[in-house]
This record gives sequence, structure tokens and C-alpha cells, in this order.
Amino acid sequence: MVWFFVTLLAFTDVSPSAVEQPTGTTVFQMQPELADNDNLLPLLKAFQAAPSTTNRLQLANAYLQRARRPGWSSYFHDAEALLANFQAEPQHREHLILLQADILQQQHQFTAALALLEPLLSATPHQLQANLMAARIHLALGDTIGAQRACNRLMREALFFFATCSYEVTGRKGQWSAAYSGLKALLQQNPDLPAELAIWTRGILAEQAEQLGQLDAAVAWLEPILTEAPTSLWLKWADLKLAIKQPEAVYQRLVTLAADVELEDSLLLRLALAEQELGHPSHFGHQLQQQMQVRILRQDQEHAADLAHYFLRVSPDPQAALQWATINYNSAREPDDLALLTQSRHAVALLNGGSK
Amino acid sequence: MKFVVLLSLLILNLASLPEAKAHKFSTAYMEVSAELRQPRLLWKVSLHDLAQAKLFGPQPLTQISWQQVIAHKEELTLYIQKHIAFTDKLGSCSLAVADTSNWRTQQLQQQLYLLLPIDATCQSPEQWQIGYQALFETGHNHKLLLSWQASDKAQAVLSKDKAIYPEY
Repeated sequence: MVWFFVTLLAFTDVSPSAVEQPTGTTVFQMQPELADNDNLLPLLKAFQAAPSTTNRLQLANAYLQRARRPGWSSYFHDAEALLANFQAEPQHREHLILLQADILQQQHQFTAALALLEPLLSATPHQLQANLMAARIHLALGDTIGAQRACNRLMREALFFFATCSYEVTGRKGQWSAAYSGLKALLQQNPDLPAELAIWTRGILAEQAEQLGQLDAAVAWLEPILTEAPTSLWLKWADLKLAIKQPEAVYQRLVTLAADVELEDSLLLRLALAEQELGHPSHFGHQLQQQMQVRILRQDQEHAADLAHYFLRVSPDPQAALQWATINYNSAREPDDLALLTQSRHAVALLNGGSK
Repeated sequence: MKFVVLLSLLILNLASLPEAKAHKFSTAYMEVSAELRQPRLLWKVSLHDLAQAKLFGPQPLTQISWQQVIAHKEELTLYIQKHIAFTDKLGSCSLAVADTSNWRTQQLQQQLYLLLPIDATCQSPEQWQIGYQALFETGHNHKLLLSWQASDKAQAVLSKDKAIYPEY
């Protein structure tokens, strides 16, 4: 763990901005500015006016959804703060459990999230949201049997959800082609899906197309919904575009985003990669280096994929990449996590082969 | 299959999508040095994190003025005294937050940090130790990067699971 010996003093000397003494009238922006018509504003105002359980849960729910969008992930902490030590009345408990379980899965506490959902699923086995979330978590853990079990509980009451959920699991079991054909047909039968469902379905189709080696098709599934898509799909889109040698598109789209919001490390990494591939001076690469130094200093075990990507693709150090990819795979076992581990092992093998 | 639109799509988003693969990591910094045989602390803490811990009022904030920040000196002092402990060989040291005229701000990793000098008054110059419990309740991944410049020089990472430095 050589990287841990970057000293704190050395770190704070890395181009620190000036220390300032603000005046009384200086105003600081605490969150990205919300547009006047932003749907968060009425919920925020409602909670500020009356911090009832309903208003609190609705605001936390909105925070969690917004936090999935590029540049807004600090809202995870707002949701967390809003629900910290909060007890809901019996009629609101189901909603509270769903929100708490989502927060836990965001923290990669997958087993704890499942344990929280368990009593809810025992009491109401066909509960839609709980089953969809349980399926997602099982997939994150690489447990396709558990995921299919959760999908099956939706069969009777929510056929579209059951089918989509099952096609995702089928793909993850390795039957990519069958799952892809089936899900494409399902989407064709339902051309007018609401945006939320279109994003969900197209995200799965993009993964399946990628697994079948159809990278252009994978990009095509994502592009129509990208503006409204969560960060995870932006990352998938950026990686696909970089893989088909279109860094300019990644650079343009992410640099526009970076002008409005503070990019999360994972997106900053893709922007730095595009910048690097285009041969631009290292502006975002430099920002990323500072972020990664802090992440290394923090010695986090969670969300190690960013560091693995960094050492694999931006600042090559195969041994470091493998170490972080292994840490990542210990907590998350989706196809991208496995690919990262495989690529890191390959890089180490190449290094060892090259040094002989 | 049109019945799907009748379902709660707002909650669906939350349930069906993968974890975001995007996270902000909450990090604070503390420099501990010795001056006239007494500890001097400099806590660098994100304004956003302090707001989330409701130190500037109970409601979520989208912006805050410097006047509002310094008006909450009492709340910040109480919070620090409750969540940061400094001890020596003989027991607890008292902590006093510097006058607001000595507070500063700094941009670190694209975030705005408040720089709060804290004076500790100890009875002994031996076995100084810091215990840190701040901001863990509102930020599960919060960590303190500690630069210890008193007697032995060292760096340490304090977290919810390891909140004391050094251990004697």
C-alpha cells in the first residue's frame, strides 16, 4: 500500500486554492442551483413549512432519485441526514424501509439492505418496489437465483415488471442472446413506456448488446434517454463511446455537464480519459489526480472501482489496479466489476510477461 | 400491459435502478500542532457537511451567507465540544473555538471548506490524544485526515470505527 504514504501535508500542498477571509455579504452555494421549475423545490418548501412524515419521506425519495443523476450525488447525504434516527408511524413504515434499504445499497451494504427488506417481503410477498430492489441487490451480489426468486414474486400482479426483471436475470445467467431478443420484443410491444420504464429497460438492453459485442447498438439504446438517465448509465455510455473510439463525444457531453455541476469521481474519470485520448492539456486529469489522492488517503474499501479504473486506464499501475479491482469485486459482482477484475489481471500478466 | 403506468413510477426509479456508481466522499482535515506547550487544532471541514449536520439550522439549505455561518458560532462550539475530545495524561483538555475574525475558507477538491482554529488547554504536555466523533451521524463515509505535528509527527485516518489517535 505504497499509495498511503502520500502525506497529508504533501497533499494539501498540491495546488491548494488560497485561504480567504470572506465578508459578511459573501454567499456560498451549498448545492447546485435549482431551477425555478425544479420538481424538488415544492417538496423542499413543503417540508420546510411542515416537516411531517409524509413530507419528509417524499423529500428523501426525491433526493435519492436526484442523487442518481450526474453531478447530484451529494443528495445521497441529504437523504441520509433527513432519515437519520427517524422513526415513522406504522402507516409510513413500508415507505421508510424502502428508502433506508436504497440508502444501504448505495453504501454497498447489500446484505444489510436485504435484511431490512426481508420482513417487508415476508409480510407482503408481492410488494413491487421491494421485490425489484431485492432483485437488483441479488444481481449486485452475483446471485442470479435470488434475483429470479424476487422477479417471480411479481408474476401474478405485475407482468411487465416480472418479464423485464426476468430478462435481466436471464442475461446475467449467461443467456445474453435469448434475453436480448426477448426484451427487445417486449419493448416493441410497449413502445410508449413512461420515461422511467424506458430508462430501466434500455439500460438493460444496452448491457445485453454490449455483452453480445454489439457496441454501437448498445450506444444506440442509451442515447435517446441519456439526458434523463442516472449516472450509472452515463458511465456505461461513456465507456462504450470510448471503446468505439469516439472520445470527442464523451468530452463534449461531459465538459458541458461539468460547467453546471461538480462531477462525481467516476464521471470525472471518463472526462479525464477523453481529454487524455484527445491529447488535450491535463485539466480534468489534474483534478482527478487530486481526487484520487484523497480517496487513497482515506483508505476506503467501498466504491473501489474508481481507483481500479484510474490505475488501469489513466495512470497505469497494474498492481494497484488489481488490488483495487479485487477490493471492488469483494463487494460488487456485476459484469462490469468482473470485467474490471479481468482487465486488471490481464494488465498484471502483461507487465510480468514484459519484465521477464 | 398499460397498467404499468398506474404504478408509482417515482418509487419505481428508486427500486429498479442499480446503485449509482457515483458518490461524494465526505472528508475533513485536522492539523494538530503545539504552541507554548499547548495543542492548537485547525479543523478544515466542508460547509456542506456542517449544513447537513444541521449546524446552520434544521432545514436543508441551498445557499448560505458568511454572516449566517459566523452567527452560528455558539452551535458550532457546542458541537465541537460534544464531538471532538482532546485529552492529556491527566484527563480532559478544554476546547475553545477561535474568534470568528480568525475563521477562514478554502476551496479543496472543488468544495468549500471552513477553517476553524481551535485552542486546547491541557494540564500536561504528555500523552495528548484526540477523539473524533463529528459528522459520522449524517455522513456514513465521513473520515478525518489527521496531520499530527505535535511531538511525534504522523498522519492518521480517523473514521467511525477508529476514532482515536494516538492509541496509548
